[in-house]
Amino acid sequence: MSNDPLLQPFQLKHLMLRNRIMITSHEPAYPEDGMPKDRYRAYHVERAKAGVALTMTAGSASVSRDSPPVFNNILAWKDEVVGWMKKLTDECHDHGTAVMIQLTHLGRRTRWDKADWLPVVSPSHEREAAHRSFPKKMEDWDIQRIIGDYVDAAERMKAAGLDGLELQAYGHLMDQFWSPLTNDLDGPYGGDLDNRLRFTFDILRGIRERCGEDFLLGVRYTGDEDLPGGFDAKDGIAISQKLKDSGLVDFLNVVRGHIDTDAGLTDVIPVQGMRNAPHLEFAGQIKKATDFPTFHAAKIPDVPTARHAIAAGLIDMVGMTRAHMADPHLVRKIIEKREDDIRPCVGANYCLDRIYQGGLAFCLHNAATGREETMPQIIPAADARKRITIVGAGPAGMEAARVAAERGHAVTVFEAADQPGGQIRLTALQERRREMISIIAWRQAMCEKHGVTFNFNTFADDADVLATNPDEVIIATGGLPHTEVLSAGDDLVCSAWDILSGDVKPGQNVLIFDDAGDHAALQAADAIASTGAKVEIVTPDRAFSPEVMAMNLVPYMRSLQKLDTTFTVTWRLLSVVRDGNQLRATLGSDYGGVTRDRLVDQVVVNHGTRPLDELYFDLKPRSSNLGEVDYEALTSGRLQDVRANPEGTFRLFRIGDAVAARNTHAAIYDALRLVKDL
Amino acid sequence: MKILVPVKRVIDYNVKPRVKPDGSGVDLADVKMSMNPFDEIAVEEAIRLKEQGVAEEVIVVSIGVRQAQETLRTALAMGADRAILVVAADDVHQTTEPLAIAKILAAVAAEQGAGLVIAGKQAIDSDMGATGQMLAALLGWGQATFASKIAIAGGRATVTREVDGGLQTIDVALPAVITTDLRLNEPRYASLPNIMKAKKKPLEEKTAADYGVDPAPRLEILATREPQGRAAGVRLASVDELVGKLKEIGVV
Repeated sequence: MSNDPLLQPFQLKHLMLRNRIMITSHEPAYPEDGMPKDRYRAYHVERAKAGVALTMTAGSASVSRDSPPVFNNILAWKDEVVGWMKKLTDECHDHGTAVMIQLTHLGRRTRWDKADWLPVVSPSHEREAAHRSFPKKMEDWDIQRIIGDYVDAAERMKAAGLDGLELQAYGHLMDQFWSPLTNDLDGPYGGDLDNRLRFTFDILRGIRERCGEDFLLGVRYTGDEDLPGGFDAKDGIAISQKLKDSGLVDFLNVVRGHIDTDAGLTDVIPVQGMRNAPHLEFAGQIKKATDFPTFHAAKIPDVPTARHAIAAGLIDMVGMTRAHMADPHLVRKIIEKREDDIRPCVGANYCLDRIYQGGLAFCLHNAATGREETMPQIIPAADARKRITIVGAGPAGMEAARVAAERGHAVTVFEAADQPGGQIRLTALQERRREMISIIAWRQAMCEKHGVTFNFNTFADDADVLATNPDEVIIATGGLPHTEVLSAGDDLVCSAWDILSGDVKPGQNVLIFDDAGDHAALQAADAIASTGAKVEIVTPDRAFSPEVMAMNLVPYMRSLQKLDTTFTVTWRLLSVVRDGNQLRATLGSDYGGVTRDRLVDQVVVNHGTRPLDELYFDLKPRSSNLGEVDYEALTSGRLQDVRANPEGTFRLFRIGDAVAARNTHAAIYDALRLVKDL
Repeated sequence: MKILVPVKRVIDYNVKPRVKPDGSGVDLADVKMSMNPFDEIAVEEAIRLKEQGVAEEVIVVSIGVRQAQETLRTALAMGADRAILVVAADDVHQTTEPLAIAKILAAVAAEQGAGLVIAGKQAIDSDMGATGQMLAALLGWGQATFASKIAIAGGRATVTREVDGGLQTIDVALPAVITTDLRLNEPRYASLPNIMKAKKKPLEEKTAADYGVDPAPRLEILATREPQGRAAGVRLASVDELVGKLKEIGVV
């Protein structure tokens, strides 16, 4: 038996959890018709197979019709959920993983213009900033109806064979009752703390009566709203004690903060560049005060921090949820003492930011997550060893090299710079984005393990590639910033990359024109503004930085607002001319009929990249497929078999930004999808 | 003024070195190699002096295997103007010792008419820390080693050196040899556009024989051993027990 604190079993009432690592509730938005079907099940089973002790399914499955999903949540109010949940639960149980689910009513944290167009409800008229709905203040029959819905939904989960469930109480209806900020009701459900908790205890009592003692119950709740006028940590300890003393719950699952704004949400679930494990000590205080089984998660991406949380007795079960999105086999690698092989979560938060925009949760650098049915988490060996030559060691090239090497091929990589990384290296130059480099460092370590040959400082030409006598050639050369978008003055502007790399020194009074809307513009703004310079970001879009998304924007805003950066939307940079020793930038509008001038000393244009594709086109006539990709084969996981040129001696492919400017996930998915079948 | 900067291709500082089974040295086959970090600082300083208008040209030179041209490309991408590769070895495991390097550098400095040599204070592979000093002696120039600050004016260099217990500022007449310490500057990032520009910069290839120097080693390596692995620790129950143990092994 291992003496690793993380691998010690945990006895939760009658249930033995096999180790201390759990996946906390999160909604990857994979349901189809509100049901956790094959894709959803495959996602959880992949992690169960690798040893996680407990998976808390659903990100707040909805118990009522008037809690329509905000990001494709599971509909726990439908009876048909039982069959789907049973299938998922049975399969996870087969692999030794306990299964629970989080139930919720979103209250005001949703919208009225969804599903049945029912009014949004809350114990007050206060609107939530994030979802913008003005709620109906709940009546007595709303309260009784929803209590009944919770109990019915719990019964469905019991029928599906789950080990238990937790109720969501941070930002949803349950803690909208708890908080004085969002509960205007008179008794019996409003007023003092006991009244405000009555809704919760009515539900817990109802579930306990319906589902019995052997169905585990818990609450995932905020123990401190961290808002003026809200309940604080002292109240949180009191609530924790009351939950324990009620005898109705079997565990506490603690978070800290409030989620009604993007910034609040991001403090509860911190992203890249923010502190690791910021609420771990607080969760430890709750456990200490209650001496009751306590679970916790909040940016605990690495095994040593998780191990500390358990070894120091701060909590009983540690949630490594985003860490499991990046590496579903995290627990197995701990068991096998291969922690260095764990694909690290870099906190890029692509997963969460996407679901809040209505997309599916994908990991920025594990393209197989959420695609378990079609993409391998463990790369299968190839039938025959081939020589694969890859040009470019950015995210696309490094993923291609890793996958090819793990398939057993002989892999050669050419890279123009003296280090791998490409655009990742550039973005990671900035302190807050430093974690990004792990995307490359992990791949480099895997490539070294599998004997990939790297040629750095080599700006490869066709002769270099052909000298490797390749069977397959993959061009992953990325792109260069494209700034020539003006009617005049293209020669007077620089790119956001020029600022980030240090090739161009920041000016004193700077206009940044950003219609790519990605990180580069904000990073450049940050770099320039932090020298004390004046910065205005101009975009023709209705909102700035659309590709950065809500939670990733938070650290930027916390920096840029303090530095007095101006954001100007719906204006487009038309031209730049010299004016004395300054630059005159003329702005126009897509709505027409207006122009405005700005007098500045530097203009930065962020307009994405254009492919570096010279080598691809040099090689194309000599390739057997003439560079063509069979999209049917690609998307259905079959071998590429285009033979357009019988004289060709190798096949040629292009991936990532060398094709067209996209993002890191696209580059890595391009590579995995193609190379897993080569 | 022309500044000459010698750069060495060494095992990358992130790589965990492995000793070859026969104990003859560190295994360098298929290992990531990079520019010696002290030399990167030297290249950066030379480029800054050029940007300040103190120097007209920065010439980088590397002596060793042909693959060292990769290292020179890095220096060119950072902003050096041209490069000279002096091939003095065929095999990556063949070392060229400081004296031979210094002799070749002296010849290159004379040939190129360099007014200043900025070199790394040592290479992170062999840690000899001798080349700069030998070079100054061979050229009969002044030397300022372990520089953490350099100011050049009126044909003289004012150099702050990191010495035991503090900083020492000295003044040397040019031409001179300066060796760089860690805190002199932070080397710049070589951007892709600059890597592309560097492709077109001249890289001249020479041999040790062109400078009349025999690069054969004069030292014989008897053995190379890896450091001993860390022995297992013990868990102590109390602070008292810890203090007792520390006394026992005589450290307190």
